Amino acid sequence: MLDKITLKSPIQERDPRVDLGGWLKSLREGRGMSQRQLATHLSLDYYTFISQLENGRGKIPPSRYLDWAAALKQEPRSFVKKLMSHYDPATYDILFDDRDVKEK
Amino acid sequence: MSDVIQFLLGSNATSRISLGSTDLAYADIKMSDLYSGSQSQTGERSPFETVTPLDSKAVVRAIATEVTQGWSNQELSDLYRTHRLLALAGIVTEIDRGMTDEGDPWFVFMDVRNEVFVHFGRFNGAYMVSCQAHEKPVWGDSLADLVTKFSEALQLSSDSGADRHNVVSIAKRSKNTVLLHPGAALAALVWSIYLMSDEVAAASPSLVPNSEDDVPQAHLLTAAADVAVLPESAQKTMIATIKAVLTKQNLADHSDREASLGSQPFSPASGLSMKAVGLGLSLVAISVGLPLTNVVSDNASFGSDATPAKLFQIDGLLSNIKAAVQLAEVAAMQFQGDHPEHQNTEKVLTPLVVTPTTSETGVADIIVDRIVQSVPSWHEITMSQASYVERKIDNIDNTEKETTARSLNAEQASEIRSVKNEEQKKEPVSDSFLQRFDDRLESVVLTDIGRLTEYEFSQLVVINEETELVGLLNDPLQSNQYAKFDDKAREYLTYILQNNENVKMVALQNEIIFIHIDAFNMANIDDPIYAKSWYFDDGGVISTVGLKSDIAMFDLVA
Repeated sequence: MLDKITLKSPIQERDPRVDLGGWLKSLREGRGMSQRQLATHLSLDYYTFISQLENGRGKIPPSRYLDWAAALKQEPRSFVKKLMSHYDPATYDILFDDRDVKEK
Repeated sequence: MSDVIQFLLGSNATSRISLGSTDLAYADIKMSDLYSGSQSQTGERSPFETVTPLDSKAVVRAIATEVTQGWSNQELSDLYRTHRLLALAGIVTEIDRGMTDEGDPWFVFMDVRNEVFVHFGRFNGAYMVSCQAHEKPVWGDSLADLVTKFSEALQLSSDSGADRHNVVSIAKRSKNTVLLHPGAALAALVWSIYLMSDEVAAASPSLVPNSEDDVPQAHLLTAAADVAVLPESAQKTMIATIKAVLTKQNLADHSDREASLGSQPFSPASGLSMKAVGLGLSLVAISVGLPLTNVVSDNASFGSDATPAKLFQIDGLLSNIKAAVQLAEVAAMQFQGDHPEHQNTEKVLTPLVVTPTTSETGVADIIVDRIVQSVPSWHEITMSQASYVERKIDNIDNTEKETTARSLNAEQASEIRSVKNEEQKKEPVSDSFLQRFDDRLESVVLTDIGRLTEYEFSQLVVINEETELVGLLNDPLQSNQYAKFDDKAREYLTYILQNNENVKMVALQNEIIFIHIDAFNMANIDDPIYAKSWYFDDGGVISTVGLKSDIAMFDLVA
């Protein structure tokens, strides 16, 4: 029956990006920067984007990875590796899963 | 920079407005300095670090921002309604909202993959929307204003004036002022952005059948209120779609079935309802000048490399809307005819209480036929895309009342005509000449023919100048296109009035012009638009605008 069909969002679990957002927030606060200051440093059009990311919504564009690493005073390689582990865990596991490497 | 306005947002804030050129102490103060006490580490000014000259609007915005942190209840209501309307249209989205460390709010819509496809925010006293469809954020004075500004931004992003026509706007036409609930406009904006996003559109929405216990009753109840914010024309379109399809499926004979719309509230998750809501949102989007595909906002798409597939995509959309609007009028009036107790009750036009009846069996066939007939022949696609789309939109408006009037019984048609006459009171119409001419054409009731104002007619001509068709007002007839009214002319007039449904009339002081509206869709290089006039001894003139092939059948081409 028509009334027994309803929409169901596939997003049912807490997104791992929420954890990443918390990490980004801690890095920013560790640098003593406000969200607006970080946005200014990154030349973003709207600083609410920083808050959005820190709440685990959306992603840092790959083209800006290095800018973010610089703004947050992070070593680029480890910073991007951390991002990838949350944005693309499948690829991350293939590339960096230590357990697989050890088994081989 | 001497005039600096300074507002603080915190509880310890004090306001200072510096007007004098001697008050140099504040000359370098930036808004961001005042909001957060922060300083840019780079010394560079960000887009939201603005030094604003004294401006009354800025004062109002700043005060409003100071008073209100986060979204207002009304703004949240509109944003959540947008989310629900998208769900009703079958689009699965996730939403989230939050506030910055300064208390500025944001609200995002995400697709099924949890990717943000539109971001709303408010800071520095202004509202903004950002999405993939437009490179830069769009700013406005309110959420509703963002709809207008976004539409304008897309149009301005086109390089040439011609390309600006790629974004179709009914609203910009003076006669077709569109009054929208802000929530409806906002929903249309997000709907438009969603459809424009290639990646998002590629992710198909998921429909998951649930058990009876899983049906969100609250959602069922709010669906009615959500749909009600859509303009009546959009609701009529939805009604027509639902009724026509149900009738087509022979559900009309089983109006007591549980699944029929009349026996229960609007079914939010039925495929049919989704199509209807999607159509309604599309109609609203088009009415405020928002595109529905990235094709429309792409400069190159309607240029020299426009492909038939792309044009066909737009045409299909417009044709469906056109047909639905036409049939919506018919269906709504037929429903009222079957339920006289609901006469003059607008609520019967909502999709919540529609019960298909067997008397409407023909509606489905008509709507299918209309859609088929509306698909253009390929020669039309070679025309200017701008004027092509404009004409399609024109037809939505120009034909719906005409179609309705012809489909109603005499009594209902009389009511429609009385409304029309009220609308046309301002026109300088010479009824005496009209009456005299009416007497000469005994077989045709001229008062049944829909009228165009002179302005509307001029707009029709202007539009078609772009397609190099004949423009009657701006391209006067050659002398050999004038003739004295005779039997051949009478036969021809009788023919076009009796055999073409979509004929409109312009009644001027001493001239009546009959326009075969559909001819503008059918005309091509081999069969162009042709105008001809006949004069009477008393000084009156009758003119016709139609297909050259039609008038040629009566050997009346000069």
